[in-house]
Amino acid sequence: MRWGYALDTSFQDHEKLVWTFGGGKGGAGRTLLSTTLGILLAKEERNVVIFDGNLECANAHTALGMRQPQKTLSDFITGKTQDINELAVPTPFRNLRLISSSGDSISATNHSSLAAKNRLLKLIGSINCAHLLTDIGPGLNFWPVDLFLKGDVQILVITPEPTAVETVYHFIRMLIYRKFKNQLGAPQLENTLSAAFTDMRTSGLNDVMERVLEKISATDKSAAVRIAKSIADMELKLVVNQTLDRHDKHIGPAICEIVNKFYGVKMDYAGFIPFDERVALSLRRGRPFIAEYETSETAACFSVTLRELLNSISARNRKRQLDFITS
Amino acid sequence: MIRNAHQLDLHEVLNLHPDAAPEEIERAYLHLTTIYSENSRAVYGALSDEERRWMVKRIQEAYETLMSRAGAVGETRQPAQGKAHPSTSAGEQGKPGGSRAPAQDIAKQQRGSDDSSKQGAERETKAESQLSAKAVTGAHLRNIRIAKGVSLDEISAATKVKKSYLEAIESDNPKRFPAPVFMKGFIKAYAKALGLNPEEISEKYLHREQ
Repeated sequence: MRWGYALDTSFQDHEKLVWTFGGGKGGAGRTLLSTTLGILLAKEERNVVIFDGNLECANAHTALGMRQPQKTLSDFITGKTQDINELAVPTPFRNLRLISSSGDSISATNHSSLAAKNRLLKLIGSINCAHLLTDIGPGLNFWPVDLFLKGDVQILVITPEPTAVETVYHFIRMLIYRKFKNQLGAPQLENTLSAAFTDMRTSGLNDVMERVLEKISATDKSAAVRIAKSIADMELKLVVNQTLDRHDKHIGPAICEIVNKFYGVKMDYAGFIPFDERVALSLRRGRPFIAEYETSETAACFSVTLRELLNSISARNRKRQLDFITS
Repeated sequence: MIRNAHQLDLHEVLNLHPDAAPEEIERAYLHLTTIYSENSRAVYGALSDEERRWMVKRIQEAYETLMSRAGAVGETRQPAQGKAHPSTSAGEQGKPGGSRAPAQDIAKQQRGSDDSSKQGAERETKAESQLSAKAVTGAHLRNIRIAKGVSLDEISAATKVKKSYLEAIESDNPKRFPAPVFMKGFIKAYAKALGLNPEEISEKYLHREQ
């Protein structure tokens, strides 16, 4: 037992874990999932920070039942503070702090220049905590996509509606596109890349990736190998929120099957959260659902999902240790 | 190496380990055919129709090949061992299909055990003659099966296809399948079990209204 315990928490003390919650579609439940899992992790005596990465419309504080904190990312973006750790404010929950996004959406939208965003991306690793849960806003542009890729645990959150399903495939295409683009220097290859990705709006990525990698390989073999490895190493997780019936519950594994075979990346199904009107009602009362209905079936689904995610991280760590030892 | 559906072997197509039992193969087939069916919500926005159809074909091929291999292994393994496999009871061995006999053997076995029945052979020929028509219906298939003296339980045991699905084929009831696309594989297995041409039967059965 002791051995098992040591392995299962191997990431806890000496390694910070960045969790990112993305998916592209607004209203899918990223804030709900990130704040709920944050509360559950903090309850297990882990040192947790929730990072509200939705620069234009911060609301993780509301989901946690708080008012907008005095210190927010605005202070960092506008240069009022240089130390990002100063922005981590206490929440009503022990062991859980929040770095709130901008309190001033006008200044955030206007001032959050590319340089400021890039600076934020670099500094995420320096936030002091064991678990950094990053809530990412909607959209498919560079900020949500690059922020998502910063995660050690990359979780896509969808609802079973075709609109969310469609968007998540676009989001995955963008992730792969950024993986390519972040590794490329030569402008002519970037043109090839953009052309290839524009070609495939509703198809898998196998052929596109093969074609582009071949072209890259012709001029820069090591870049092609690097890109292929970084894509093959990806491990996405999928959570389906607001499921209504058994068909909804089947959609998660089905999406993973398709992504695993046609998108070149590994994606595992991590669980579902059933539709529960009490989630909306508790939000209106200004209390997080998980604190109000701790013993509900829906709360159990959050716990099961968290357990599944933690187990998969432990399994991955064990595999990496083994690979390291045997290599 | 980036994963690619084009490079998967038959087991990988069905997400199976190499020693998968026929029951597992059938389950995987049902599961995957639903995922890649035309009306699947998971496919929406993910794949082009061409990719989807290609995958359905691959699943079909993998299912048929692995199922027939599973049957063939059962047939060759038994005489080579010289005695019954510990997990197989003596009673089961006597039953057609009970020891994973290849599907097409049922009709022949039945004929062999009832060789003197000239009438039976005539009935079979008469029933099979219906197949020369352009279309084949569930009733045609049922007549042939009865003429050959094969029960649905036997076909189910040999093909590992659930009896309820076989009944659905005979009663022309596609609604009983989780998705219409399942029918093709099952009709082929059914036809093979009766010693008929699987391709021809499935073609004539599925496309009779067009």
